[in-house]
Order: sequence, then C-alpha cells, then structure tokens
Amino acid sequence: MARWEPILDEVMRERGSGLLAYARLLTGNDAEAEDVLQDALVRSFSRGRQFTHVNAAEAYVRRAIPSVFIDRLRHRRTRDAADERRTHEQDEAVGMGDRDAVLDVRAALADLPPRERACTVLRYYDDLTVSQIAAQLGLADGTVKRYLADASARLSSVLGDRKQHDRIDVVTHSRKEGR
Amino acid sequence: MNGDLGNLLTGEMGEAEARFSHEDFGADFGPRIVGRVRRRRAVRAAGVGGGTMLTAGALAVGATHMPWGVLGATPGMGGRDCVTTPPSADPHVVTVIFGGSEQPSAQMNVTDPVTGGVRLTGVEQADGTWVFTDAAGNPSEVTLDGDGRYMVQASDASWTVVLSMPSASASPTDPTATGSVTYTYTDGAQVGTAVPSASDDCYTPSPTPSHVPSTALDPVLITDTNGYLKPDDVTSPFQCGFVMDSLGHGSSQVSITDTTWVSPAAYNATVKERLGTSVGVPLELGSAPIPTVRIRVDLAATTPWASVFGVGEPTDAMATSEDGTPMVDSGASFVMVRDGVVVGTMDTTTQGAGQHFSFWHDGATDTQELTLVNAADAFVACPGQTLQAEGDTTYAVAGSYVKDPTGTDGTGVEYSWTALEAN
Repeated sequence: MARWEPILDEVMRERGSGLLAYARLLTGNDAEAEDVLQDALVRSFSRGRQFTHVNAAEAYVRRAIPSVFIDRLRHRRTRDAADERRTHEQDEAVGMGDRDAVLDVRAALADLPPRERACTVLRYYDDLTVSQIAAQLGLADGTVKRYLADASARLSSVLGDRKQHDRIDVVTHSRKEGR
Repeated sequence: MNGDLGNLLTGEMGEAEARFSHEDFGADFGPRIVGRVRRRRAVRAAGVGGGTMLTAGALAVGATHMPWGVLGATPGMGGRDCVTTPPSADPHVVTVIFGGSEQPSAQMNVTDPVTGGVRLTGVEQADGTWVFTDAAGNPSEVTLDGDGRYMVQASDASWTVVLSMPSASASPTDPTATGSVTYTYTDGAQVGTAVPSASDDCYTPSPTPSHVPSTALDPVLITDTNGYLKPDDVTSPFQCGFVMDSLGHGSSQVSITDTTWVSPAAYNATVKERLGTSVGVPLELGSAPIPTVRIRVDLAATTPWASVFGVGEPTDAMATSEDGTPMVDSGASFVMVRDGVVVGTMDTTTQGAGQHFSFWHDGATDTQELTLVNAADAFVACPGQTLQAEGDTTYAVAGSYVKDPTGTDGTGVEYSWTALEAN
C-alpha cells in the first residue's frame, strides 16, 4: 500500500462525516456534497503531497472543498444553470441545538444562489475575511462583497432579524439584477 | 464565528455531521476515490496527462523535447516496431507498474542487485512530471511503445525501465521471481521488486533526439539518503552530508523562532488539552524531555489557503497552484549533526503508533510547531555513518519555497535551522 493510502483511508473513515457536512453547507444537498467531497479528496491526494497526519490531510481537503464546489459551478453553469437553485429537504433528526433555527437556516441557505451560499459559509462559518474568500474562490474582492451583501439581504428576508447582527457593511455599486 | 448566523451554521454543521455519521463514506466511495487517485498519480508519474500534457509540452518546448525527458515518440505514433537485436549484449528490462499496490513517491531508483548501484533515477518534478537520469547523471530517453507504455532507457542502452500504466497491467510484478531487481524510493525503504528479463522480445528503439536537451533536462538533485548523493548535490540541510556553518540560520521566508523542552507528561497533557479525545495518532512518548520548535513561514506572497506544510524537504511535496495563486510549500524535520555535518535524518515513514514527530498549527500566532515526540530510533544514519547518542546534536531544519502562478520557481528554497540544546 502506498504511503498516501492509509492517510486517505483514515480521512474518509474518521473525518468523512465532518467533511461531508461542510460540503453540505456549501452545496445545499447531500448528493452534490458527496460529489464535491470525492473530487476534493482526489484533488488533494493526487498531486504527490505527502500528508503525514490525518489532521493535516483533513485541513487540506477542507480547504479544497470550496474551490472544488466553485469549479464545479463554473463547469456546470452553461449546461445546468437552471438547476442551481434546487431545494433539497432533509428530515433526519437534529442532533443538537435549535431545530427550528437549523431548519430555517438550511432552507435559507438552500435558497441562496451557490456563489452567495459559498461566500456566506466562508464568511460566517469559517470566519474568513472578504479578501481571504476572494483568494480562495478566485473572485474579486468586490464580487465577494456583492455576493455577501445580496446574501445578507436574502437571509434577512427569510430569517427576519435572527441574523441582523451579522450584516456586514459593504459598498456596492448597485443591486444586482441577476446573475 | 460572527454572531447568530455563525452559530446557526454551526448548528447546521452539527446536524449534518450527525446525520452523515450514520453513513460510511469510506465504504461507499473509498474504492472509487482510491482508484481515481491511483490513476492520476500513475499518469502524472509517467509524465503523461493523457494526450493533454503531451500536447501542451510539445507545444511549449518543441516537437520532441519534453520537460521530463526526451520524448522519442508521441501518442499514436508508437507502433510496435520490434527489433530482434537488443541495443546491448546484456540488456535488462525492468518493469515498474504504476497503479498496483505500490506507487512511487517523489523519487524512484532502479538499483542493480549485484553492485547495489543506482542504474536509473526518476525524480518527480514540481509540475508532477518526471525526469529520469542514469547513473552518470545523464538525462535518459523516454519512449512510448505501441502498448501505450513509456520506457526509460539508460544512456548506454543497457537498461530500460518500462513504466506500465494501470490499464496495461492490473497487478504488480511478482516480487518473488528469481533474479529480481529492486527499486527503491526516496526514503530509502525498499518497497517492491521488479523482474528483469532478457530483452529478446519486442523492443522499441529510441529515436535520436531532435536537439540537445536544454536546462529543462538537466539532472535534478537526488534527495534520497541512500548514499548516492554527490557532494555538489547536497544543498539542503535536510540532506545527508550538508554542512551546517552555524548553530542557527534563518531567512525572511522561513525561520525557527524558538525551541521549548517539556517532559513527556507535560506534552501529553498539552496534546489532550488541544485535541481532547480526538487524538488522531496514539503517541508513544519516551522518557526524555521532548523538544518542540516553532516555525514561522512568510505567507505574504500568497494566502493561507494556497500553502502547504509538511514533514521533510518542501520540494518533495511541491504543490501546484490551480487558480493562479502563488503557492508556498514548506516543510520541517529534525536531523542529527556531528561536527557540523548532517549524519542522520529523521524517519518520517513510520506513521501512527511509533510516529516520531507531531505537528500543531498555532492559530493565534500563525506558526507551525514540530515536535520530536520520541527520539528513540527516530533517526536513520546516513550511509557510512553510525549515530552516536552522546556525540551527535539534534538540529531542527525547515524550508520554504514560493512557487509563482506560472508554475516556475519563484524564490528557490530558503532554509532555516537551529541546534537543539537539551536542558
């Protein structure tokens, strides 16, 4: 067995559920989360990197997930643009926290266009700055700000003032009319 | 996290993770993922990105001049032009099968079982392609036969290595066959064997290169610890024979900022505090004080998301930027030094129980920590050396490499090292 295989196996066995959950946050549905995670794992382990610990490998795969997700969007956009706003329902039990709030935020996130969703997750879950998000997703800072502003507006309308404190001050030239 | 939305997203994560915990992602998708990785690594190892890489390379450097060797044929041209006369009186053919149970990592040596000498060396390049050199350091030709196999030939035509693609063979060559020839990897561990056979079957002659290889074909450094290093090749403190001209050295790109020693019990407590019950590696701690070095890498040239840090020579794990972002590849290790010369390198192949090192990223200060968790048997003596517990000094070494978006070397590797003085 090659040296990378035990690490890959360990990542999938021990960290798979967490990575899937993270991919699920970005993608909004389970099936695509599985696809994104598969691609992220393949990308991370295919380039001759020598991960020496599952923690390092997991961190790398986690960082690859948003990039993979955006890349898939770019490839898919022309042939499947209409499918970007699918809403998928998941009804399994809630493990912790406020179930209603979780379902609300899940539904609200699912309604966001994918790029806005990705920016929102990276901003509010991963706590990245606008510049860091832009670098990770290969977008301009201004584009990220616009996505975040639009997402914030959409989430406000869905979640009411639940997340009013999370709005960020950004400067946009105009409201987007479409994307 | 930022306020309520961050908390809600965390809740969503927790709910999803709990739900996914009932699924076995590894069992469901593992074989498929492993297969994809193997194929990609095999293709990259053979210097072939399908037709794409070949085409791109040909366009970039000329019709027959490839960055991983001299291309003697192009895809689709490799008809089985068998000749009955082998190129030398006693040729050997070594078949190395990628995609089997063993795969190369960074470097592959084909070793003569009689003399112990390396006959061919393949080193993975930063872009994932491979450059092969013979024992004299001469670039070796790469040819493609009609079966889609790439063959690397020694300059004197006495040896040929067949790089067999996964599709061409599903299993490794029988390692127990009589007269087998070993091939070894960078870390010096013998990982498999290949069977030599008289080249009396079909043989694809290597066309004459169209022009003299340029610097792209210059032999690359052999960074193994097998004793095949030439003095001029030793350029890194990670390598046997490197001369430490001082007790400490740093650069603006990478520096070892400080060293701490703690008791095994104290270190164990720190690990538990940091990782709780989620310790991924069962650390086996010795009784001696445990050193930890803190390493700072300048990531100003890139983003934290386009950097990689690992154990060992940073160029060994060179990452490739996919989005135009400069990549920073960094690594660290420990070595044993006597009279200012590296005489032992750390065993980085032992994983899990018995692992000699541990990593930690300190987010507060954005520094890496590398700990020598158990020095016993942690070092492999360099060829011709015997490690001396009382006479050798442990050094921490670190390196960092900035790769610009075009995929070429941006800065070269910068190094830092420091001698660890036990308290």
